[in-house]
Formats: sequence, C-alpha cells, structure tokens
Amino acid sequence: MMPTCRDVSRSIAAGDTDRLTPFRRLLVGLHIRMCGRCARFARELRRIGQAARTRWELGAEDRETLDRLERVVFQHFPYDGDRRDDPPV
Amino acid sequence: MSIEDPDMTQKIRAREPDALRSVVREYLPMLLRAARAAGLPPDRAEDAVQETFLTFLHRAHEFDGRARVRTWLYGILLNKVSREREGVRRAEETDEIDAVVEARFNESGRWSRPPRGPDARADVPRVRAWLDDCLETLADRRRSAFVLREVEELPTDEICKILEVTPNNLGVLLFRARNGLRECLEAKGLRSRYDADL
Repeated sequence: MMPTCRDVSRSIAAGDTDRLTPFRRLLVGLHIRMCGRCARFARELRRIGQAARTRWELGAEDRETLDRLERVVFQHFPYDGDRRDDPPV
Repeated sequence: MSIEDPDMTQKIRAREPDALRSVVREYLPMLLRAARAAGLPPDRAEDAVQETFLTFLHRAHEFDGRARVRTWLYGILLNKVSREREGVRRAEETDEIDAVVEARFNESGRWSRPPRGPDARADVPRVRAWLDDCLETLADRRRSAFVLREVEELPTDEICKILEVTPNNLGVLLFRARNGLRECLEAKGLRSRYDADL
C-alpha cells in the first residue's frame, strides 16, 4: 500500500527510513519525489539540522578555551606507573 | 593507531598517560560542542567537559572496549548535563507535539496544513536566537537525541547506547524533537532559509 503523507513525514522526522524494508523505502522515496509538500517538509528538517551544526560549530575563537581545558585536564594525569589499584584522588 | 583500536583499549585500561592524552586531544572539541548544544551556558559547558574527562581518567581502568571511547565519554557528559539542567529541564511525559503534528493531516493521511513555504530571509542574530529559544522548549532527552544526531552526526546504534534507548525509542525522540523545533521556528516566522549563515 502506498504510504500516506503522514507515514512519510513520520519516517523522515524519526529518521528511520534505513530500517524500513527495501520495498517500503522505495515507496517512501517515490512519494517524496512526487509530493511537493513532503519534499518541503524533508528539506526544512535538513535545513534545521544544518542550522544547528552551524550554530555550534567551533571556531578559531574557541582555540584558547580548548587549550586551557586541555591543560587543566592534563594536570590531573596519572604519573607513570599509576595503575588501577591506585586511582587518582 | 586509532583511539578505537583494541590495543588502545588495553592502554586506556592500563591508564597509560600517552593513550589518555590522545583521547583527551581527540575528543575534547566535540564534547565541548555537545555540552554547549545540549543547553549549558559557556562556563558550565567547560566545567562539564572538564569533569567528564576527570571522571574518564578516574574510571579508565573500567573501560572494557565493548563500546567506543567516544560513546562512553558522551554518556558521561550527558549525565552531567542532565544533572546540571535539573532545575530548567522540561518534563518528557508531555507529548503535545504528537497532537500538533496529527492536526496537520486529514483523515486520509494527506497534508491539510502543510509546512509553509519560503519566507524572507531573517537576519542572522534573530535566527540564532530563535533556534536557541526553540531548543529550550524541548525536553532534555529529545534535545540530546537531536544534538547527537544533527550536531554530532553520530550513527543510530551509538546514540542508542549513549541514551540507553532502543532504535524505536530513538525514532520517537527524534520525531518529537524535529517536529517540535520545526513548529516552533514556523511559529516564530522562520519558514525557510534555516541555513542562513548563523
């Protein structure tokens, strides 16, 4: 049975198309190609994802923070020979 | 040698300084990004990342290699984020978004209120603020699922291990997170061009 817009949009939002049967996945793909509204829905979700990735992308201004955090964490490193029986406090 | 190699597992378990340093250098940036995206303010995100690595150092001998080091670290971090946000997080039980989405379809399952089309490009600071606001409306688990999938781009099986959910549960979390965000952004007037240069 052809999937409805409700079915297709649910699969797109849940991100479960890779877990559908090959035939069902084919039908969903065909539906998206034929249905402008579902295609728009899929495009909007992709753009929201892209926006979120851009929003939290680390930049050159984060280098100092990363270096500082690395230094702080390294200060807590076990000395050579430190083992599981002697965990850091 | 890759950090996820079996030989590396032994070195991490033995708490060899070089192996531990490699883990920190490799994963510090992504944990900082995830902590910020999960909703912690910058200073608290840094603290959470630092605490995550200290927990990792303290418990490295427990690492059994069954999951990736990365999976283990994200799990530690998100537990810390979750505790940190206890005062501000939203209850997960509410599922109003299911009814909101359902109301967009008619009885035969076709769109009756389809997503709206392109709109004028909003200015960048406003888009960024809208995205932040809308993410704050999500329950923590939904936000974590969204961040791990969209920002960190992790595969399904790894996200399931981190959040300790089944693939079906993850699908429900992502369905509600993505629809919640889309509805919120649409209500704020951002109907397209989400890919503006944030």
